[in-house]
Amino acid sequence: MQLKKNQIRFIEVDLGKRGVHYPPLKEDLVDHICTEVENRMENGVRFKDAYNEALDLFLPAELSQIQNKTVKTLTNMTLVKSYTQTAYRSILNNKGHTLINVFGLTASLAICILIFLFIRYELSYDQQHPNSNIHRLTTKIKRSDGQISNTAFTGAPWGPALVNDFPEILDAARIMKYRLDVLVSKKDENIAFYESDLIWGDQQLLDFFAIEMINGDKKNALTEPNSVVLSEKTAKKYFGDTEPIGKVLTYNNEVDLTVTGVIQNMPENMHFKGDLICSFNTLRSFWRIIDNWSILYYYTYLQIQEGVDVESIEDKFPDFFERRIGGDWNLSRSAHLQDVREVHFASDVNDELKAGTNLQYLFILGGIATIILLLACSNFVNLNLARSLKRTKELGIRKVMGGQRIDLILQYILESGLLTIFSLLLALLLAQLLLPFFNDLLGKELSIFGKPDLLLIGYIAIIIVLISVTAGGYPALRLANLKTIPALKGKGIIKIGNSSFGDGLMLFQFAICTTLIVAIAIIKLQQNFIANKNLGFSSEQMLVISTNDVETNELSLVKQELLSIPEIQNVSITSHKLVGDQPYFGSYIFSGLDRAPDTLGLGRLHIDESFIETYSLNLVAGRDYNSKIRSDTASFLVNEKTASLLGVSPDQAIGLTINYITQGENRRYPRTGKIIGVVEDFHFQSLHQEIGGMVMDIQHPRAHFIACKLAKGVPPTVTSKIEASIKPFAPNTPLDYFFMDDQFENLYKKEKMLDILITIASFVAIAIAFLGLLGLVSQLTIYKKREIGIRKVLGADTKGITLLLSNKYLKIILSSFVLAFPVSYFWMNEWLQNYPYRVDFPFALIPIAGLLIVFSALLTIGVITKKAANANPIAILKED
Amino acid sequence: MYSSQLLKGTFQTIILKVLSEKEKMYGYEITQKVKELSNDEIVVTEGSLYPILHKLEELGWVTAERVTIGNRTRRYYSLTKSGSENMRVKIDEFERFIQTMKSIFNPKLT
Repeated sequence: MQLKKNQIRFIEVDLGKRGVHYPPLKEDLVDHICTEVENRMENGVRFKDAYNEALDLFLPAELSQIQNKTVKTLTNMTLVKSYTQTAYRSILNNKGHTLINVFGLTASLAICILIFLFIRYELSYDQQHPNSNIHRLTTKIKRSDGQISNTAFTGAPWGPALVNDFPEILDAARIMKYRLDVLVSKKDENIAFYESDLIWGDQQLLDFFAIEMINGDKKNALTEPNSVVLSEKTAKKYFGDTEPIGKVLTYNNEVDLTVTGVIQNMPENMHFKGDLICSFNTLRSFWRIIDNWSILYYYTYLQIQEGVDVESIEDKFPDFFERRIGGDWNLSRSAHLQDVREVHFASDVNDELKAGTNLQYLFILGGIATIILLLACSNFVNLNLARSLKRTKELGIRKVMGGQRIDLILQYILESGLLTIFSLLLALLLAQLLLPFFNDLLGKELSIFGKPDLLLIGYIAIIIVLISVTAGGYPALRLANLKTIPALKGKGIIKIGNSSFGDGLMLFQFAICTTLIVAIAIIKLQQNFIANKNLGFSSEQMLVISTNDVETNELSLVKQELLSIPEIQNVSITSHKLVGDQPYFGSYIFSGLDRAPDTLGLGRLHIDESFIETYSLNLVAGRDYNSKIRSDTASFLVNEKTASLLGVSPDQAIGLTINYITQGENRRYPRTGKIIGVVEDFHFQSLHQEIGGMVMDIQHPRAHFIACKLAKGVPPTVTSKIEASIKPFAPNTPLDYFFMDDQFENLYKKEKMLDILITIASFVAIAIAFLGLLGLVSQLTIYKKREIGIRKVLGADTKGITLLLSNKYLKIILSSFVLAFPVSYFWMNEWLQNYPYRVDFPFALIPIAGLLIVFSALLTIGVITKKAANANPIAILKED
Repeated sequence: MYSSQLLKGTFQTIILKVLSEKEKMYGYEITQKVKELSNDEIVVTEGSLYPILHKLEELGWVTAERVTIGNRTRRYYSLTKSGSENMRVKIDEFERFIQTMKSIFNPKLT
């Protein structure tokens, strides 16, 4: 004679009511009493009577006394251990849905916490400045081909002149930063470093922005020429623990700068960074073009009087420029104002001091975080709904006994609340564990427990309340509205798989899954496209050295030296690096066509004779430079785009004459020459920019980079040989070089990192959705166990039963595609518009993503239902 | 049947001794075994047995093993090494106690 499950459950519940709670003791007593009951039932006594007889062996209240006695003799340690063990066991045993809920919520909350930290960090850019009304000037340039581009560059004289002419502009600050690393050495000592964050700035910079001075006079640190303010870190690098104030650093072996202050290391979340800030007025002594109004190379910040409309100031700019430099200026340029707090997100402005963040990415990430939370929530709701079915009977009894509706709802909300809080604690732990990897990925130093954060706590509280109320409240409400009598008979109004709300949630989940799969795939495709895009030149095994201190007239000697190294196949000297360099423009006059000369503002690049060969460019018309033809030193190469802007074929472009004015060492002079060759378009800027027209000629004084094409398989150690051959020409400078491929990696690093983040988050979302499906289907199989048993007895086979159970979900999943198609198309097509060079929208992907989802869902459903369908029907039917 | 007052201090020793006779036993089995060995003279009630078992478990003198029997879980207890050492001490002590009691009740006249 063995007691059935429900009889044991009855005894368990009854003993609980009689005060037995301590889990191991309860197990003992249940077993003890069950044995007594079984002995009696062997003799033909009915269960209820046998149980009462067994209870009679105890004195009234004796059971709770045993509990008290046991607990009193044990230490707290033992008690805590037992209770935890029991809770752990019950989760492992049969609380599948609890596990799914907690797991899903934990994973999603952890991801949300990380994404929240990231977004909040990004939004914190430039919010810390004490002065709220600082605007940055930007310049809009209309190119000859009609394209408009924005640059953060402005002219150096603009700022002071604007302050002078506009009463509402209170003050101005300027920054200049050379686009290459610069050499800074400690005077009279052999200590020198290449500095990537040396900027030239006005004294006002210190007032405008949150720059904390920790040593020196903040009011006057940058007023005198030849002053420099160092960050704490930099001061330490050069001067160790000695007092830096008054010491002298030498810039580029030519300008001495006296240290006048030390500032706190500038935070990452500002749009510019200065490890060394040198006084702007120092530039005048060696930078002759500083007074030129048309050279755009400086950043200008304006402090605007409170309450003055920014647009009204912008409206007066054309007059200002006409007055100062003549009306022609306004034809192709205009100046605009931009709140510094928005600089980090202004993705349409070129030439930034620091790479900004596309706000769209943050929206996507925030969206995915929300979706993940919603998915976990809908799992919660769906599983609670399904589980509540098991409880309808219990609830029917409670309703008869006068249980109030509000009690029911509260109980459900409390339960979900506890689960949510538990998950949240786990999620915080998980997020903390993941944070090092996350920071590594993003190159940031985010922290969860850094400082008490009311905003985060507030969000968390809101999330807990929201999840508890929706996940607990909705099923509770449905249950509370049950009719009492059917509920007593175990017939809920809710049937699993009959809840339209639950179906809606599932539809939503799978629509999102499909959309996310399409999104991940397209992001990946676009990434591969960029990585493998033919740039128009070869960057492989290309080592680029900065010319630094090498004298112009010695460049050809350097080139000879380098070519004598056997590992180097070719050498070419250029004015710009071909990886994401700032564009540089010239105004070129093309004549020779049977019409008036065309004047075009085009990209400008200075090269040497071996450019085409070294970079493996394709010549589409004409010829390369030839050292035997003397006039070639004045000849031009152009790209295909230039020809098409002129409206001629590449062949027709050959022989056209180009005139333009260039800045020499001391004066401006005109250059004239003929186009001898047209090269295939190549990507000079990053792939976010469309290729523009480009004019190339030979101008050695403008050489900045020496590109060495290495033979295949040459190890990076070749740099020591290169260093040895350059040393005689620049004895005081360490070798400054990079591999072109590495620079390309850096160029797309930030968006790659964001893409990785989006991909990870999407996978989590998909996993959570499937977890939900898993939970729901396993609940359904439990619920339909009897039906399955009966069908099997009546002759249904496993396949038929699996189909019966999956049928409904398949329908939902299929209809979710109808929703997913347009959403994923519009969303990802929009995203692709960020790239001028992009993959075609892969329509085939959508059905593939759909099939993938159906297949995975079938697999999930199949594994579970098969188990149920394979079970022995007799055993199941006997169980109840 | 002896009065519970008389038996109170002896239950622990009895339980340990009974457990030492078999590899493992569950609660109900222990009560039956004691009844059988004492010819129904000594009854270990649930109220004495289980608190003692759980205390012994905490002390590490016995260990419990959970085994699924039918549709429920049964806890089997077995004596540990330190449990059987302690049982020896307890039994020795109790035997000396009986000797002492005997000499009190039957003083040898010298």
